[in-house]
Amino acid sequence: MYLLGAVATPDPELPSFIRSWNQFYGIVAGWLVLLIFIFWLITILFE
Amino acid sequence: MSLTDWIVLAATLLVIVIYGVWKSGINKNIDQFLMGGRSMRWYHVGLSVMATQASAITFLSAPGQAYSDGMRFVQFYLGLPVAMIVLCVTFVPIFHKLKVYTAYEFLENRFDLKTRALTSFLFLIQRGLSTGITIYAPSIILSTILNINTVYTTLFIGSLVIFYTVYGGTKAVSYTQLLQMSIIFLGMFFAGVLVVHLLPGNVGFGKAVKLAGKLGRMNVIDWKFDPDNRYNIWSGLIGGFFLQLSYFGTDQSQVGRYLTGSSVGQSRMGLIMNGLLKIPMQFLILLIGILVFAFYQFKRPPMFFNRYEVEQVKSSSYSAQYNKLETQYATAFEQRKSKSEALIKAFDTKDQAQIAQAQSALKVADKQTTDIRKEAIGIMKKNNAKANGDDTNYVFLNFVTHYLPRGLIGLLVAIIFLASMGSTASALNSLASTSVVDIYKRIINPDASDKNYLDASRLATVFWGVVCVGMALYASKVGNLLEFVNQLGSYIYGTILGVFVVAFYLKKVRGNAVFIAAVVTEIVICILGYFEVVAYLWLNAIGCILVILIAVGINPLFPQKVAGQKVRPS
Repeated sequence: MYLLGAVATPDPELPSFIRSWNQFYGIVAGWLVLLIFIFWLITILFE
Repeated sequence: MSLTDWIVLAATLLVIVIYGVWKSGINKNIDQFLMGGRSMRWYHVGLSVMATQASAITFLSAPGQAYSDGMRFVQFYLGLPVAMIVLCVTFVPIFHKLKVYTAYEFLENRFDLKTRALTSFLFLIQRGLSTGITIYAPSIILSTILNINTVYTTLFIGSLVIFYTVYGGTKAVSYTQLLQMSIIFLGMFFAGVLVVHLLPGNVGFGKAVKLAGKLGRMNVIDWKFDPDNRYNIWSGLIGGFFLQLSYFGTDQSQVGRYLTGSSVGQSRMGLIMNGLLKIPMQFLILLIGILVFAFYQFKRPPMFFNRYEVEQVKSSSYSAQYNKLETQYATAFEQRKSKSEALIKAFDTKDQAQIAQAQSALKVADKQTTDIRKEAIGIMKKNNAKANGDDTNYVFLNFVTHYLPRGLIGLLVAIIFLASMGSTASALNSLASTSVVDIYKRIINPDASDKNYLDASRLATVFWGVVCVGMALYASKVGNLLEFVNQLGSYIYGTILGVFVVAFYLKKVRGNAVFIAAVVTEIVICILGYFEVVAYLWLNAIGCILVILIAVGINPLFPQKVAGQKVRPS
């Protein structure tokens, strides 16, 4: 709750297509998951 | 190197230093010198953070590491994006709110002076030592190319960085890094394209990667949990997370970079940029190493890439033995080459049985060359027990200097220089900040004028520059530079991170408890590291957790102050 509370307020400095910092962090986390998936695919495809 | 390469190298370095000095303007006070007036935009912050972490070691060692060990090193960075999120949520707003110059200043607000002094001291040791390695790494390039002693090249790089860091302060560091990173991206892109271009006509990018994969080099993700294995997904996500969080959250060379952001939002955006780009960047650098590996399946590489060590053994009584091995290696290479060509042809047939057969034959031939190489390293060690048997740092260099066209060699060499200069400049700036703000201004001379602190900052930059150059001169006998720097960080970062985690999240724990916990943990970590009980990446996590547990455990032994702890403004 502490983490979420700290970032809930909208920030005018955010890019226009991002609604909140939480959404931005979600994109970063999603990007990491996608990268791991791609790396895993590369590993099994080129074994 | 040809004259064209020298002109490209000199022009690149000159333009960047002049640009940095010109854009930095005149620093009138310590805030401008150390924090750049806290006026930087997010892309400046992001590129500066990336340039600080991506030292010359990154561009020298990483392709070599992929060449000898495959892609698995990329897992080391998997914890970074999550660490960026935690930093954005917790560290950045607090540091900005308190308007601190250094991360350790916050610890006095939260705990006491001795905890601030301890963490500053640990940082100065770690950063002072590792910056020496950062300067040494590119100096081996010039010594290889020019056949001159690394002493001169180390001194050249050191003096150049000291000059612009002392003159322009943190703004000069940030502006040079902006240009440096642009040139680095451009140069590495060209290098990657050219490796593919240099491959034999029937071997394109896809087949080169497939070939490397069949020899076990495309091992990007390893799911097996093994605490002794340095690079698997778990050590990367968990150990790497702790390491990156400690590095970016508590190492002043990084904290100083994102505190130059004009607001909390700008600093956060810079860190998020790093979180999004760092892993793909590292992946692409390693991929260049994989392509170089594929290239050397068709062009004979030297049996050992470090020319200096080869010359040493060739001028000794082991010369005949070594030469005989070189002849064997040449024959073994030709066999491996024919097996590689057979595998490439098998790829075209798409017949899995044929591919598997060609792969087995290639593996046998590859083992033969590897065994001969191992034997050669054994002879080097017999001749000189202290000989460096790890030539990882020389693999990419050898390729660049022998196979890239004129002009591009100069640009690639410039990149190694620029990368080193960028991270060294940040390190000197942070060492100066910590020395002046946390020690000189806080303990030795608290009531001096702003001019005095500005002069002290410049002097401290020169002092640390000289110390780091001195360290660089002793770095020549360390094996893989990249791993050494990371190992060194793991001995200290976990403890410092533990102190910060307690500071942020465990409000009831007091100064004495956390101080004792930090000292005890550091001793335990040094013992664990020395006896190699676990892979070094885990030391960060263990250090952090130990500090938290000990601090919480012994906290009741220290009575709470009635009036609360003194909060001292920076």
